[in-house]
Amino acid sequence: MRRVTATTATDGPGALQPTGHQVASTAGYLSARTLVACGAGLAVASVLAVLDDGRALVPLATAAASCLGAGGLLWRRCGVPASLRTASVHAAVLTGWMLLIGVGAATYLACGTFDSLELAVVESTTGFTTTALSVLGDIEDQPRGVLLWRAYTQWLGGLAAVLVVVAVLPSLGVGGLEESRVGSDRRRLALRSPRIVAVARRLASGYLVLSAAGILLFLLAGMGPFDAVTYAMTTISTGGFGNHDGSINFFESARVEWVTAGGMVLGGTNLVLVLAAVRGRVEPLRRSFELRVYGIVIVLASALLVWWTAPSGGLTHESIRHAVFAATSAVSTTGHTVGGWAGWSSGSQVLLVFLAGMGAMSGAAGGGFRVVRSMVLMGFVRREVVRQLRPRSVVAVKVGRTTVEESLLGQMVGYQVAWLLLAGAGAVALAVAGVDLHGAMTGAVSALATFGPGLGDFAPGAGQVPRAGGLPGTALLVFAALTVAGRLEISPVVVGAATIFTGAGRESRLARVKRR
Amino acid sequence: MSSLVARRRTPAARTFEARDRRPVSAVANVVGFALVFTAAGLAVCSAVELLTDDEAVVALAVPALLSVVLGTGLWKGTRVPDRVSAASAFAAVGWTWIAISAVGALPFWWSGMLPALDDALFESVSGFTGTGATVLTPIEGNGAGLLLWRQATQWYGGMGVIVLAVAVLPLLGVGGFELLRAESPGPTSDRLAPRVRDTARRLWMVYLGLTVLIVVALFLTGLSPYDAVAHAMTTVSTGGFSNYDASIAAFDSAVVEGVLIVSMFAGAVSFALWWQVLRGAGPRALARSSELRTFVTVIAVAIAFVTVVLALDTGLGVVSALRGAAFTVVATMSTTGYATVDFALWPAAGQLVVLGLMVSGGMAGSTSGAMKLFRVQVMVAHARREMRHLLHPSAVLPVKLSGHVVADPIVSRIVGFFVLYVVLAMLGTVLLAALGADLVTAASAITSAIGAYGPALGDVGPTTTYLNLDRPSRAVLVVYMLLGRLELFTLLLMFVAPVDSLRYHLHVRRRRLSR
Repeated sequence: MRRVTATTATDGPGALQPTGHQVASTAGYLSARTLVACGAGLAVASVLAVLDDGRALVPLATAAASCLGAGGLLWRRCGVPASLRTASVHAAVLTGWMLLIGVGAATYLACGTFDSLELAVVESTTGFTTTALSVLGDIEDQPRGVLLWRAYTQWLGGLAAVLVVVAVLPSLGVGGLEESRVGSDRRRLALRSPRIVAVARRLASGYLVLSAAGILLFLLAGMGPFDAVTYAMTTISTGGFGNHDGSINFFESARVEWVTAGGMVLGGTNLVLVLAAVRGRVEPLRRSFELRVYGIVIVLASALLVWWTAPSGGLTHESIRHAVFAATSAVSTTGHTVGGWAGWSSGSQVLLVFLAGMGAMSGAAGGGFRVVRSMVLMGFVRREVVRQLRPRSVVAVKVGRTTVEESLLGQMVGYQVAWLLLAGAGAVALAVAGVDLHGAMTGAVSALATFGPGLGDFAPGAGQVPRAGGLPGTALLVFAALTVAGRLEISPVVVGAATIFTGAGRESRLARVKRR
Repeated sequence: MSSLVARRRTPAARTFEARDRRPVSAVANVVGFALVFTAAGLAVCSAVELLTDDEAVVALAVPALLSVVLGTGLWKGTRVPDRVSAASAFAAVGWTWIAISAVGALPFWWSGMLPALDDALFESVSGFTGTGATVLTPIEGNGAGLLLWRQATQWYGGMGVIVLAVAVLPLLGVGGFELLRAESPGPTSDRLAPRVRDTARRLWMVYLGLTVLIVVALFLTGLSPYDAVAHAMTTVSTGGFSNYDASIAAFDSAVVEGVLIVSMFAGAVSFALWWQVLRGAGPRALARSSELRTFVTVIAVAIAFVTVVLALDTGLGVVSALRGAAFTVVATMSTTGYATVDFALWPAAGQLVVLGLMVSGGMAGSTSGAMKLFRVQVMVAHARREMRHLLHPSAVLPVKLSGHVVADPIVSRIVGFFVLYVVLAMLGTVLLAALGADLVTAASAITSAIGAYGPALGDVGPTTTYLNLDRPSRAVLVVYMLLGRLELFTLLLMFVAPVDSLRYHLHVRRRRLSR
């Protein structure tokens, strides 16, 4: 690995020198926060377990205590290095994510939710990557503590993903082309710079506000408090897990469905915009071109689906509701379902998978390729067509009024290629693992978009959270791996893995040497 | 590109010429020439029909006459302007393909072989674009001359494509074809018309030579002279029509398959490269091309993978698995579209490989369609560069192809082409699905059409015809065949020149009236 320009010193108040007893390690720094966040969730789940006749109390409490203990220890021991290398930040993100998945799987195993390590890992992975593919049977008989933890994995995963993409790795560019604008400076890397901390705070508070609103609305729609909290967590995070075998269909309530659809749309909206709206500032909303396109896509997709899925007797409230629900579920990459698509026309099914592939807004918990990237690519194509006739013309690619830098353009195209290559390779891997052709083709796209359902073997059952329990274990693991790649926008996985395998720990060693 | 417009002129003169006062003549001239050329083929096929006492003599002869009259009128009645604008070059290419496809459809329609006009057009477009998708069933039992014409459409299409790819597109800078400029066998003149003329002459010699070689080889394997000629024409053009319902499986001969594998491969190698080899550069020219090396590598890996999948999943013997895999992989990657096995029944992994090869296609400057390998190479190199850019944000990392740096504007064009290709394919897939096809059928049919391949998966596998899709879907596929064959931009921009000239004439008339 060449290190010509890799090290960028970040002086100033943002870069804290590790104090005396601390070790400089980005991985440690991120892992500590990861563990504490997990521990907090597990602690709440244990409290709930007490109320739930103590079912699964011991394993949950043990997990909570060990997470908090280990997290606290790391928190005190690890500081952010004075100089960050992009490679090590990528590696740290990947490490943190692996830790999350490990904690989740270990908790499931300890609680006896799953017998096999494989399934526990898959459930944990799809949870943290906010993908609606559950391999859990008898969901309704599970202890409430476990169910809360399961929903919490998605909630935490959604928040972590936004923070990673926007705050930790602003170099990914997509973070906030328009809104948060941290993506413009690709050379700055300062985990604790005031600016990034501020952006992270804003994102997190936007997320919290959304979640609270979600809980409130679900309560108003008639859900019980426990269901309201869990469904709000899996909806706002665009995760898509449910506490019931029938997912949202269990409630058989139009109000719940409309609220869920609304929650999914919000989950796919840029959090900075959400926060601005909450604070009563309309200007950013009006200015955001991505938001406009996102809205248009949802409306158009809903309209098409309403048209294509209309029953022969004409439109009914139910058919319209289901169509809109499916459209919002796909665009926000949530994956909640209120009825299988099995009976729907092929066009509707294909459209849903493509919508999920395109995905939600940037800076949102939703996944997929994201609206802003699609818009940039469209602008790029337009420019190339114009240039074909006037080769010397200088045309800027714009998103709304923002001109997209050439370097960012190249990056987005590179991302698209990587996305497509990964989808192709993933499809072949799924097929080799024994998934049918429809399932393999849509499964890979759905996994990369952190959506969940697909066609064929990945079809959502009638009114259920897609259960892939019948699929071979290897296929599920391939799917889970793809969801991680999609959730982390690919490069942290590729670059991070390369770094871990080639130069793990180099950074902290260097830091130590420097201090002497 | 810059070359198309006059250099070293006064600004006033340049604007005067850039306006291109007679764009119609460039389009009409090329269309006329192509029609006369096509008429010759129709006449030969008509003669064959006459000799074999089949019924479609008139159905072939009348379009020939029509074509030669109309063609001569357009060709001799107009003149190519000194400097051809990019817009009219696109228009000339696009309208040529449409004109010859229309004329080529007439015999199918009038002879009653395909009584519906849209079916006849589908077959003709599929022919001239070298696709090989068919709506003709049964194929056997039709007149010998008529079937020969069906094969010949692909041969003509191939001729057009190599000139397009080696002489025209590099100058227009479509989708990064500038990279081929260095390899082009033509004179180094930057002017379009003389360059196309000379390059065409040379390439067609190679093309003709290769065709004759394949005819001889196929004849030696025991095929009748008619079959040898018919299949040589669709092999060298990587088209894929066959005059048998069972395609190449009808011969059931490993030797024939072997010859065809080599021939399809040859057709998918850049003709500019063949020219260099013949000019004395020898096999070394082949070894230097990284695109060719990649081509061979991908084919080898794909054959190995598919063989393993087939041997493990279907219990087929290794030898027969290898035979089926080798033929299908080469037929797919060269975008020929012959079939010896029904790969639509293969295990999912095998089908996905076929789909992937359909997207990549063979080398640029060959008769094969689809994305072309050099673009795939550049795109992968570009993606790798961007990954490394994340690590080293200030590093200057060039994209390289066979050791040479690819200039950023060219990378940008290739990227533009790639994105447009993907977007159009996805759009088409949704369209076909909305019209009723399932995902596999829709995605593979569109990929196959835009990649000039032929058969697809699902409902339109190699043992079936496109009659399994409804008429609107087939119309969509006709558009996609033309889109893919003409490298997207040509078809998208072919209306610019006619509209411009229309506007110009209207403007002039209005000015005269107001005077």
